[in-house]
Amino acid sequence: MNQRLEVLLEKATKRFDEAEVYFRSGESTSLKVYKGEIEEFSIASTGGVSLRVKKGAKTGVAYSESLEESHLAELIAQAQESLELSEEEEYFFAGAPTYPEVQAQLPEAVEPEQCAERLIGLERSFYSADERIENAYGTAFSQVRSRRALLSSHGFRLEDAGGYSIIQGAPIAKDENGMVSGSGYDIKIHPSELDWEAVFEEALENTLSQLGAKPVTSGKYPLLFTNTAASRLLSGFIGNFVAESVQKGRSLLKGKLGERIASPLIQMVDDPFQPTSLIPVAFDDEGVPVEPLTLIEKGQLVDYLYNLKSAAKDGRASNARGSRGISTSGGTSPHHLYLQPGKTPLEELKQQLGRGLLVTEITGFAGMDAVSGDFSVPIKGFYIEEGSHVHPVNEVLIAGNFYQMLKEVQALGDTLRVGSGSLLCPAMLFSPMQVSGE
Amino acid sequence: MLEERIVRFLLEEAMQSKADFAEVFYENRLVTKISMEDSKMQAAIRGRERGVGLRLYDGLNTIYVYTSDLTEPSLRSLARRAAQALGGGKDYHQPPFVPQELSPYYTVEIFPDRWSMKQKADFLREADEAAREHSDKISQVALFHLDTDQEVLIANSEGLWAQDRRVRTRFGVSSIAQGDGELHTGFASNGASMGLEYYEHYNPNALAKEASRIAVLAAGADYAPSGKMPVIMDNAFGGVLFHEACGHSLEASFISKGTSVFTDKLGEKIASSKVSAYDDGTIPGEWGTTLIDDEGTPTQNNLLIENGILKSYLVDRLHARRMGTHSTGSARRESYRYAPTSRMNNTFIAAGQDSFEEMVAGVEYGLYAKTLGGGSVNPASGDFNFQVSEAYLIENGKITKPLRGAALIGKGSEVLEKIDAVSSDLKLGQGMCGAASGMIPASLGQPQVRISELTVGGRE
Repeated sequence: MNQRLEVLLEKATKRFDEAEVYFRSGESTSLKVYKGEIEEFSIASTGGVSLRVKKGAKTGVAYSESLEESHLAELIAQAQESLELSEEEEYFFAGAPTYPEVQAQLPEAVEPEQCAERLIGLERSFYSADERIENAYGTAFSQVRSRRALLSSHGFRLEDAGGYSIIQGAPIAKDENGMVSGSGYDIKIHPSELDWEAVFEEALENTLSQLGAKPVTSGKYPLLFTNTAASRLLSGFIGNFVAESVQKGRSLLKGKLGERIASPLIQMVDDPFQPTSLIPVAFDDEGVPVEPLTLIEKGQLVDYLYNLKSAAKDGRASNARGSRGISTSGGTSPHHLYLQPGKTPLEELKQQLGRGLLVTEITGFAGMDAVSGDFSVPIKGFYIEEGSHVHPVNEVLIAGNFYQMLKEVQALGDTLRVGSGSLLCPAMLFSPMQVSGE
Repeated sequence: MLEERIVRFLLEEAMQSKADFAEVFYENRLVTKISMEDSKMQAAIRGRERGVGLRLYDGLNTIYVYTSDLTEPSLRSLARRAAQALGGGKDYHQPPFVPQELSPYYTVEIFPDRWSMKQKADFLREADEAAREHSDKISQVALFHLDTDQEVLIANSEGLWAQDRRVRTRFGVSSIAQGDGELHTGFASNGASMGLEYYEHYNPNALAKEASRIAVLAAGADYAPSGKMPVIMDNAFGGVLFHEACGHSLEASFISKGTSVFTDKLGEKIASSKVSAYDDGTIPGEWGTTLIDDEGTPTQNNLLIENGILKSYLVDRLHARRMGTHSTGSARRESYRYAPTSRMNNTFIAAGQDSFEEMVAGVEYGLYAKTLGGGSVNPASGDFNFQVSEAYLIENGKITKPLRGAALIGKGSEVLEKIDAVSSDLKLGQGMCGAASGMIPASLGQPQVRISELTVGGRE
């Protein structure tokens, strides 16, 4: 396979000033059980190659999932046509003398039979835990292993691999008021590290505790988000930290570098070398060496996410957040972005909340306007008084604004939840926001 | 195309197990995506997506394996792994393939490879100007042209040999308006199961102006109110209401397991008698149309609800087994990377007899939702939500002022009963629908519809 990529690179190098061949492949296994049997079992192996070329100031790209020689040969002509059209200059990395040493790990292979047995056991335990459990069809395992390689006409060759394993439970419970669903999950690199008991408990608790949920009266309520709910909501807005969005006037963070945009409690960091990162990457998808990056320092905006193109536009170096897929190119994204947790446990935050809503889940994401920062989203959670649960809540919407939330956060919880979003957040307590219900 | 010999060995290998049915799905898709932003062409992308998926049934359980490596050893090993995973064994000989004969009722006039990328890009340039000319508040415009040419082959152990070529073209514009230190977005797009003759039927400049109009309007609007109130949904993309509130919950994947609020409700009244609804996969040239579904069953026009009575679910082959019924031609998948399941094609509420003016006149205080964004639903509870990107306040029977976007929520089992007026002006809108079998093109629609009460998630 590498031989073919080298041949493609060589051909492209002859025809263009610069060329890059990016290869990505993945293997995945997934199992889903239903009523004591493996209902769905899937095995996959896919891959593809993307060619990016440059001549003068023009860039062209083309991709193929077929590695047949005739199809790879077509890529040169397609990239040429793409290049003729391009009007925005892109840049290719010339290589670096050293890269951070990382210990990327491929997940251990999974034994499907053994895994199926555990899943069936997990499903059974849902049914036997409570007679109101009606269904547990979301009991599933999946594992992904992926590899990427970057071959450049500048002479460097980079390659790495990584992956993760995940289990989830999503039982449905029923009582005289109707059906409710909830879920639990765990994500780790190796299947042997997965905590099945914790998933069982989380999924069961999230489901049963929703029975009898009802709306609250419309009005302003202080809100406490669990770490999962905060991550899911705030992850929708991280595009505003991408330098290209700022340059193209799509982000309100334009011109805010060095300014206070958030409460002094907020520390936003992108660091793939943290233990919570599943894939510790040494280079981004353009081949630039990765280092930890702080975006917000004690509430002050100190940097944006850059790739080579946006960095050149601002006359600076890339901070190695370039991203691409087989069918996409020129993107920017963080590697492992999070808000530094505080020290307050969730129970204590509930006390501080007093009378308000604990938001445990965002149940729909359509009402999020990533550009203005405005959101209006449905949630599930609990109505709280004096730190205690009064009743579960559903069928309500909360409305607010991302930028305002960053400024108005009152307190931070003490833990992050891996796998909860592209911006991991601790639990977060906010001053009153509009809640629409009864 | 995959050779018949290879399809045969894949099926034979797969069936030499406990499997009682096996199916091969092959696709070869050529994609062109051209985008423009800042009035500059961004890197245009050409690509080939190609792979094979092999599905085995053992009663109600399935194995799905897929790969993009179509070399013979890779395919053989894939089929063997699938058969081994299922276990068991038997002698099996594939019956002869009977090529499916269908007379296409729509034809592609201009295949995507007939025009250069430059020719396609010209539509972007023109629309970029149209979007910017709309108002000096427009500070940024992003546009895309997308065309896909997908060849599929579906063959199964019953001897089916079905082929289809699906060509689609789509155009979209996102405009940003600046005002008072805030940024507001407007988005407009449509698409068709057509080649480049799409541009003879649809006007990209009109989409551009529409996107800019929505953005500028939001820039001067107040926040929406919050709480329960009557809501009038506009036609076309207003169909997101039915799509989320009901459509997904009628999919056999939920119905067959009792995880939908509409399980066991066939023949029962689930909606106001003003509501009749269809899912029609056969509308010529429509965005969600396909000649055959992704299991090779010809698509059909399914009457879902007639005068409020539930008439049909959306059923694929596998779930038809669990339900003891037959497929409604509703099996869909994004690509070979997904096993198909029951999904919608072109779903809409049929035209009624009420007038829009009278609908508005009958509202004392409520919301007119004119431009709709996406939405989602939890089929088990029926809780759905969708986003309104352009809305107006209705006061004392009159539309009074524009409002900023907000989300709306309700319960599928309740909202259909609360539809108290349906206009005669049916239109369709085109979008992308995401679910278990990936993102698929789907159309949705309705005439204007009034709901006596929905929860509006505003900020006032």
